Amino acid sequence: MSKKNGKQAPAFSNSEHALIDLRQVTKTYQGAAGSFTALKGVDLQIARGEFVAIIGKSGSGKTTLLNMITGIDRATAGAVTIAGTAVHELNEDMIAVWRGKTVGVVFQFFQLLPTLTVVENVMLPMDFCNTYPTRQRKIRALELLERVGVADQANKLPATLSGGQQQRVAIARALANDPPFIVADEPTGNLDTQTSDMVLALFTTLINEDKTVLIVTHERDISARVTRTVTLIDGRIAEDRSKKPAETIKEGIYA
Amino acid sequence: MLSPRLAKTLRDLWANKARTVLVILAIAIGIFGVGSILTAYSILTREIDRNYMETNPASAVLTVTNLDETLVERVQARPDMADVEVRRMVTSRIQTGENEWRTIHLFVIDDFDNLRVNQFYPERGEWNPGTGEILLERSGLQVINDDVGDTALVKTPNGTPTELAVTGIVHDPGQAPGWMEGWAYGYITLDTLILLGEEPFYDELRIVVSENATNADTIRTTAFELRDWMQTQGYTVTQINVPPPGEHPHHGQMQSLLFMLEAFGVLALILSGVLVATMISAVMAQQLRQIGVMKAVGARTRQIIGIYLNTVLILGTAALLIGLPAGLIVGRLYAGFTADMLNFTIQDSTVPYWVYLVQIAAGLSIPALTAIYPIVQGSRYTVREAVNDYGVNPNQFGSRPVDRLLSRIQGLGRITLLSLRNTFRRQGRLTLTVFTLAAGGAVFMGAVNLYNAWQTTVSGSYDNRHYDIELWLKEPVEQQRIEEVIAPVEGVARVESWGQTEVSLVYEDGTNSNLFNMTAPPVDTTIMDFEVIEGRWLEPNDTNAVVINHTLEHEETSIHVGDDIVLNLDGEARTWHVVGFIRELGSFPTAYVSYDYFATLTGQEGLAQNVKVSASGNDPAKVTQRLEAALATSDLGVYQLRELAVTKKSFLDHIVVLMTFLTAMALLVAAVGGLGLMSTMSLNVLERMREIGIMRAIGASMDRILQIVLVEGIFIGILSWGLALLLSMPITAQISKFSGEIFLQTGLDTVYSLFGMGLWLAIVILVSAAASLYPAWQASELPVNEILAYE
Repeated sequence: MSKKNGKQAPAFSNSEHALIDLRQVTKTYQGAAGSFTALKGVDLQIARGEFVAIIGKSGSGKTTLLNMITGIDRATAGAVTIAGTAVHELNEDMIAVWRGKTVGVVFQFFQLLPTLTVVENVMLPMDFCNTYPTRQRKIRALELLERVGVADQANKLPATLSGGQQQRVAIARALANDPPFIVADEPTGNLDTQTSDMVLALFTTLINEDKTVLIVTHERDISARVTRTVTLIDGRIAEDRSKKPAETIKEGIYA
Repeated sequence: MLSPRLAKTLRDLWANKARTVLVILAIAIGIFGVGSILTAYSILTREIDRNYMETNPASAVLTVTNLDETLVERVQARPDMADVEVRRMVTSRIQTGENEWRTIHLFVIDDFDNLRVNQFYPERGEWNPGTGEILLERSGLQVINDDVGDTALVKTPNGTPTELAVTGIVHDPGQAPGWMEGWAYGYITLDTLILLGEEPFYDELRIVVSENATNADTIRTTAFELRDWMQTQGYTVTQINVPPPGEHPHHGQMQSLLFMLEAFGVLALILSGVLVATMISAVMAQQLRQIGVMKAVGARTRQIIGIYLNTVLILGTAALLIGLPAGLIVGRLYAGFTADMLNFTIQDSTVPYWVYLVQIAAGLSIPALTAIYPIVQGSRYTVREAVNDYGVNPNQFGSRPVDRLLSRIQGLGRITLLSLRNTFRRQGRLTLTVFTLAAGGAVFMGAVNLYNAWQTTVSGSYDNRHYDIELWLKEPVEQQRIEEVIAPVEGVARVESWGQTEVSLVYEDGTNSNLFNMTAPPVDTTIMDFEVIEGRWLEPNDTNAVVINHTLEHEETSIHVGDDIVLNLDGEARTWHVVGFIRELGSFPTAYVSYDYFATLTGQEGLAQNVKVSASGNDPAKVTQRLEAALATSDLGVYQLRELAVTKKSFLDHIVVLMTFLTAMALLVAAVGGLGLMSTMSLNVLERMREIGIMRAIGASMDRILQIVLVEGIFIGILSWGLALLLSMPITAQISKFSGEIFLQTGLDTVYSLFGMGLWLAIVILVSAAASLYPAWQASELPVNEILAYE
């Protein structure tokens, strides 16, 4: 089990203490052209405070795996338990509320609502989950924007922001309800190198605040920044490799 | 600060201004349709009865031969009488030009300053006419072209043409509008009647019963009890007439018409609801990704539903702000127009609260109800379905039988094929769009068909009459004498004279119906073809056989072919055998019997009172004038004369108002359909932006893209035309039957107009092209790089 600031992040999580616990998860899609199995009996445990990258080629099943963890999609077989909650047993509405409070989701294309201002986008999860008193929501949203460095853009519409700025707003939005873990699907896929570094550094600081971060990416070079790299090939975990905590933290701090 | 959810709702609406305006307009049109008719309905039904009841209408009119003041006082003293007044009505003629005369009903009033029953009101000029003066009713002025200050030449049945000074105009809400009936009403004193050459007496005792004044059966019983009592007092009652109690003569007609218009108003509202559903489907499709994102950050399905239902409620509220006042204004205008038409005055144009409430409820609930399905469907999308795009879409083109069928169509140009197949890609959306447009088309074609049905039925009925002029004599005259006077008139081709009198039906309880005509033509007459609708026409050997026209059948619904009925003819009750029903437009309730038998019964062998004249050439109006000149110097004693062309025109004019409103409703519905198509095409273009980009990238010109979208829109229009054609058939049959029953007491011939079908095809193609033009132009104008980058 990790301690605050990630000083003792484990090399391998065991299932009893795992924040994320996937058991024999299989996902098969039915289409007009036949069925396609995206995940084939995946077992994966992730502990609190880990910064995990799930990497793999296009079609390897990494986004499907992420969707299983966030409750965005349901497993065809197997069990998904997140922070003690059996996600696969929740209905859609329960999942929505659970996800709003437990998981911060960051998308590749930012997915900010175009007709809401930056600060309103960040307030939206608090509004849906009723997690903070109404008067405090804007204050908190501004604090989060300040933290990700885009507070000066608070009253602008997303379309007027650069890609990097939008992704930082998306991260602020993911943090709105103070969830214990953040998942990000190709968060740097649409960003230039410099902006990508800034975004990854932001994730690293979250690890230091006892958050768990899970990133799906096809970029192998991201592995230098994370504590653990899970490689998927054809719906199976082909490799699960951890780094020494100190090494990672240092990289995070000085990135 | 607005909550993020409300902010999103408002800004989404603002961000899609064109679509927002379309939806608001669509709902507003529906509210307007319902609101205008409801407004008119509520005002008219209240005011028409108020106008009528304020006149203190007679419960019954008793015709008494030896009426005097003593009787009036004694009747007034009876506890079952609320009011009594004497009057006399003399149907006369008024000159409208050289050798041109029209009918004028002269009411002889005992005391203008103490009107008690069937009151009328001063409008202009003087009120109390002196001897040699006349007041005219306002609704008949256009028939006779006279006004205050003019001199009218009036001729009563027994008098000579006499000049009367028109000193005032009155409004008599109890009379059927003169312009519609083609006659006028005048009000004179007994002294003026003497001046006109008639005997000075009153013969009508107009009574208002004190109890159950709205029950026709009770009134009839009371009136007959009064008659029996009067007869014991030495008075002779020759006739009792009980008008429909408590209702203006046109109350039923107006209510039926308004009901039909209301049905179309509701249709417009429902269709606008369908359009809202289409548009909200479009919104939901466009917002799927945002829905996914909102769910990903914690939104529950009901919160998403709430956002989009709020959207619909905001649109509904905005539409109410437009539709409600517009409906109110037009409804009041229509009420005023109808009141003028039916000759009553709207004293209070207040619209009851329920009309506002119905509009508000409809404006908010119908869009919400119709939009709830697409909203719930869209809101139920899972985050994965909304955000991600996995695998093969099971609904994409090619996976359904209809797609495979379309893919087999060959021989058309590539562009046309592409447009045709695109048309069927979103079948749910296509269905809604086609249905909305088709509804407009069906109503439009129904309106054109109704116009044609009216023309065909009226023309057909008049074509059955092989005469041009009809006249009635005040007394039976020898047929030979009639022939001598009329046949020599230049332009007269043929003269035939019939027997005629007035009779009443004797009910089982001994009471009588109102008077109607008994007309006796030669059974083998060829001057008129009788349209038998049940049973048969008269035969040479018939004696007490009677054929009933549809107007009488409509009034006396208990009569059936094969029945024996008792008619009061010249004070004698005789049994007649009903052998058939005929349809005869524009006629009063009439029972036709054999001339020979009639003449024997009445002692009128060789006499006639009703004359049919056919004119040679194409100008019966000229022949009418010559005939008038000849009759003026003859001893025939003409009571009435009418030219068929004039009455036919009056009939055809009756439908103009109905046609105008049906066409307006059809165009209203078509406008909703056009908006729906525009919305559909915009959405289709939006969804296929990437495809359009690819086509542009591989060489499609802007014109080609424009063409593809336009042709798709026109395909939809043509599809809707086919459906409209099918829908128009039952609609045509129903409105032809319904409107015929309202105005003519008989269904119209059902006519399907090829012109109407062709006209709607042209209109729908134009509407479709126009509705698709903007989306097509948008599609063709976008730069390739922007389209391909479209997310």
